[in-house]
Amino acid sequence: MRDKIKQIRSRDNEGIENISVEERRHFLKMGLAVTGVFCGGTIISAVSAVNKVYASAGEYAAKYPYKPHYSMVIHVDRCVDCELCMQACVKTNHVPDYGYRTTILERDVPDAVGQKREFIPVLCNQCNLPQCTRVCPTRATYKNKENGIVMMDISKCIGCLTCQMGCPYNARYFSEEIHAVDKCDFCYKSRLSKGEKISACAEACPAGVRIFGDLSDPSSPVYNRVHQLEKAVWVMRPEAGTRPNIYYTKG
Amino acid sequence: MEGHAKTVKLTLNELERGVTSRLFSGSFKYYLAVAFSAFLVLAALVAGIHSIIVGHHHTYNVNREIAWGILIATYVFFVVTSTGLCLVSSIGHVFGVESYMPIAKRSVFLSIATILGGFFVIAFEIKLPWRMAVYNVISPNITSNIWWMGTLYGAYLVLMMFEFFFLIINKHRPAFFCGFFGAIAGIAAHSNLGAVFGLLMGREFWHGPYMSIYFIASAMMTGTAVIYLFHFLAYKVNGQSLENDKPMLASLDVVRRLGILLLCVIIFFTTWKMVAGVAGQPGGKYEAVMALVKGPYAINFWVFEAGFGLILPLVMFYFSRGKNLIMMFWGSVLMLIGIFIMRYDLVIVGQVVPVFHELGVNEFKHLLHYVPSFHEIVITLGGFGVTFFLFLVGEKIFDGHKVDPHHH
Amino acid sequence: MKRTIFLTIVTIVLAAFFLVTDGFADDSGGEIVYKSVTFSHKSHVDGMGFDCETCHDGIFEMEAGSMVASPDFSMDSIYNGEFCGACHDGSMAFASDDDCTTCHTRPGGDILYFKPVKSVLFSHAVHTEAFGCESCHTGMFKMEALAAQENDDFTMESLYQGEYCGACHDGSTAFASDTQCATCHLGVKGYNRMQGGEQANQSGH
Repeated sequence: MRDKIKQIRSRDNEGIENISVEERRHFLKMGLAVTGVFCGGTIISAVSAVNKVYASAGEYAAKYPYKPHYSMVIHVDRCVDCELCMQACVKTNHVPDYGYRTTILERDVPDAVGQKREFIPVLCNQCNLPQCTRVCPTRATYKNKENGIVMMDISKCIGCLTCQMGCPYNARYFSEEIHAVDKCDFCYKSRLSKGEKISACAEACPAGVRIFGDLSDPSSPVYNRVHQLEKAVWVMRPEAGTRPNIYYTKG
Repeated sequence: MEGHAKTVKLTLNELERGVTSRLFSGSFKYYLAVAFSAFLVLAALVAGIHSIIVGHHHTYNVNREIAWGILIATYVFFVVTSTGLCLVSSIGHVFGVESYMPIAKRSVFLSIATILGGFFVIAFEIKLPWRMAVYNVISPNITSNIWWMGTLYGAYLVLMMFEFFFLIINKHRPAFFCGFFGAIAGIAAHSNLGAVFGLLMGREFWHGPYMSIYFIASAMMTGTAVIYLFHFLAYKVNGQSLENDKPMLASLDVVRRLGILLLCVIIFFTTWKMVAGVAGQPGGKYEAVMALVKGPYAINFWVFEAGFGLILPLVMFYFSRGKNLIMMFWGSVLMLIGIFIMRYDLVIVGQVVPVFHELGVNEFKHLLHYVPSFHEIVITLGGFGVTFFLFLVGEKIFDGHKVDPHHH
Repeated sequence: MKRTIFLTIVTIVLAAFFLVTDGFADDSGGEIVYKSVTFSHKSHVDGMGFDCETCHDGIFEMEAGSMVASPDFSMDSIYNGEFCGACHDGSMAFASDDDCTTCHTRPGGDILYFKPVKSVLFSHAVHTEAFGCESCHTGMFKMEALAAQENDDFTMESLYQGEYCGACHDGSTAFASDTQCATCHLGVKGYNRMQGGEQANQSGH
């Protein structure tokens, strides 16, 4: 296996079509390891489990099938629900008033010690094993082969809404404007494909809640936040098994 | 056989005259029923096309969280019924059980009528059905249960139509093949429909292999009630006496016995489904099951699902002893009402627990709420209109689906 | 039961009697309370020796609290010589932009800031449990609701430097201003809820 990794490292970005089944399996294993349980229950320091599978961060970084492997880390305790992210999203992606691509949930815990409220930003988790793309009958929604973003081909959408039922994150809605299901694409169409580096919501956030970046690039701000053992990092609804790419942390 | 084959070779003129004379032989009540079901279909067409023009979110009560409403439930009801009709009738003419023969023809016809009712409803449920026709073919996704279900039901419909055609012209060999493969396509399609729900991770009420298995068993149960109901009605429509048709009565009695067995199976399934949802309070599933046990869906569950759908029909099927036809008729009616509510609850209750419920956020602390809109109800009734219209007209065109006794 | 009703009635009658007689006792309007301000007829009539016509001749209506109905009843109007400002101009009486606490004797209720972001709740009730007015209203905050949010430096960065709330919320006197964000920040949801009732609660729909 070590030889294999060396071999992979010596290569340039090979693209997904050249990734072997075994490599995929290893990657999926890692996805499983980088998975905790959200606050509602226990917080597992998910990343520590990575250590059992891989000796070093560098080793599993090489396994990312996408380049760039877009991801977002959300510092959930920094969110104050100013909703500038939501406004930026609506403006950038022309989201109609009856829908949203990202929103902020509010959790009140009146008998908590100290702070009694928290705001939880949610958006499409751009899962590695998305259920929406599996259930779509016409492949109208699919995973972009280069960057792993879950995208929509709106001309193919039949409006059966099975993807909406399959999504464990309530990230999709039917848009009467475009006659298809609409969802967050990390601003791929509106920004990333035009050379911008981060999503509109991440840019608009005044509190550094949404950190956008490339999980496979050690110089990206998301890299260190996910590939460390000191601080808890978790994902939403890991039991749904979709291996999301939106990570949550505090501090 | 010989004689019958000759009748088939009637000239087209003779055939047309026969059909026309039968079509004009109905009673006033018959034409009233035909007109009423046609009216339901027209009303549904208007409601459906109106929804497509003004946008579904103005006319349907489904939303982002509860994306599937009564129309999906109705579709499920119809395809369950159709599959059940196909399976029960295939016992006779596919697997050769003699006593099931008399019901075969009408049942095959009804399975076509019910699935067309289902397709009628789903055409208005899906937001852009015309795209489906194109992209199901040129951009298939073989991991999608919806794709398999749609494709297999398409094949099923074609096979059932051919089977019916061969049954009419008394070509029993090809009818057998169509029936056999139709039954396989039906089972495959229907279990895929179960998987559409059952394989959704994170939708705890549905998740698991249970749905696919349950769907098949409950399809057959539904089939027995529908067969009884429509045979009873058919004899009224044709002005014949069911009491005097001994072979048919014998056949319906076997169907009744099968119905009792399947009612017991579904009672068993339902009991364990509920117990599994309560024991250990599994997250997401528990809340949904409790919504049925003593929440907003308790009346639906105890009165309609358990009472109308299972217990009363079981009692009535048993005590009718196959002789009390009126009791059998009402048992079937109650059962079908109960089964419709079962489908409704299955679809809606699976969605009332929000995906972020366990996060404890203010937005999704409570169970979600859905009531069908006027448009949705009109289209639902339209589905029943399609089935009844086809049934009524079919009785006349195909001359009461008479079975040639010499054949056996 | 009867006894309770009897006692209640007696209490109400007595209270009413004292309230009314109190008004008549000094032959003036008693104390007028508006938000954080207390106006004492006693100190103006007995203390200063003014008669009713001094003020109730076009400046204030006779009816207690009627000035609230006037759309320009604000500190700005007062600075321009209207209402209290007719005398409190710095020459006849102390200036109205000076010695705030002389008149503003009561806590100012909830202040809901909506700039630079929606929204932050400051509760006078909570803070005056332990602190007096002068703790904050001596340079740090003007005695004017929402005045602070008009300043360009009303930002978290200033708070971290010990300005505004940061004077106490530094991690020693009170929790640090870079912790427990949502204790003060109510967000857009909180803002809508305070402005428009409970409807805004269901933003997910």
